[in-house]
Amino acid sequence: MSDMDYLPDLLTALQADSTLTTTLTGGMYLKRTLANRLTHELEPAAYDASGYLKPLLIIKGRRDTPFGGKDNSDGFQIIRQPIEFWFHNDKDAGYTALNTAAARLYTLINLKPYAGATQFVYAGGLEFEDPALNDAATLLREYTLIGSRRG
Amino acid sequence: MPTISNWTGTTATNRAEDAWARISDKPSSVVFRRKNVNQAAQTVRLEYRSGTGVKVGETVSSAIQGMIVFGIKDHPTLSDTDMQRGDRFTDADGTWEIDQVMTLPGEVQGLGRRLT
Repeated sequence: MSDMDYLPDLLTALQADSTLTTTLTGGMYLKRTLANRLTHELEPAAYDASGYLKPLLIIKGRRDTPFGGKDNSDGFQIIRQPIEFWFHNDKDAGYTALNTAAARLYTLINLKPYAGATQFVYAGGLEFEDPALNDAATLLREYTLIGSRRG
Repeated sequence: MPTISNWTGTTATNRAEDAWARISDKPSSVVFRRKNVNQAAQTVRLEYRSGTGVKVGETVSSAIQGMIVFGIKDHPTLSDTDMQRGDRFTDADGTWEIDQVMTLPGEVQGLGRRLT
């Protein structure tokens, strides 16, 4: 089981939520599928007809860490993994849509059992303008995934 | 008989006419967005400058291209180019932003960058 196995399922689940899809009109992405680049050419759906960024979400998983005991018979191991949810929007459009989406995300996943994982636990947040994306309005919401792996 | 002052363009009007001639040689129509409000379309000249780079973030990275937006000021028949620090516009390649505006005789130049 790889570090990222939870994330495609999570993305699919979030993309099925009408509040998120209505709010995040620029789409929802896994960071690894973006090749670290969000451009008009590669992700045209992320930009409006005038070429400005639309509200969107990028999910990034960080390094997972084993904790607790390990079942040596089959290698079952509990892990925790920081999962970052990066909400971006055009800087002039501001944070309204991002706050709505972040609140919805909290409702959907915080302390909720999730298939294949035990649960997500809210771990912190940050608000700033990201210079790597034309100073886009940015909300970071970090959750800790308490999950498991085998082997 | 031409005067030397006209030939050298020593007045703001002369310089504005010269600036407009340079713009007309390679014009671009841009719509500045100022505090989320689109301004009227204006004709300017866009030129790249040498400053380039990359900004790398946690989930994204952007290529930066320095650029200059050339406009006019004190032209005898045309309105001054309305350009301010923080104005932005887009083209097929990315988002442009004006970082500073220099006011010169007959001309305004916006120094900025494009992120793609």
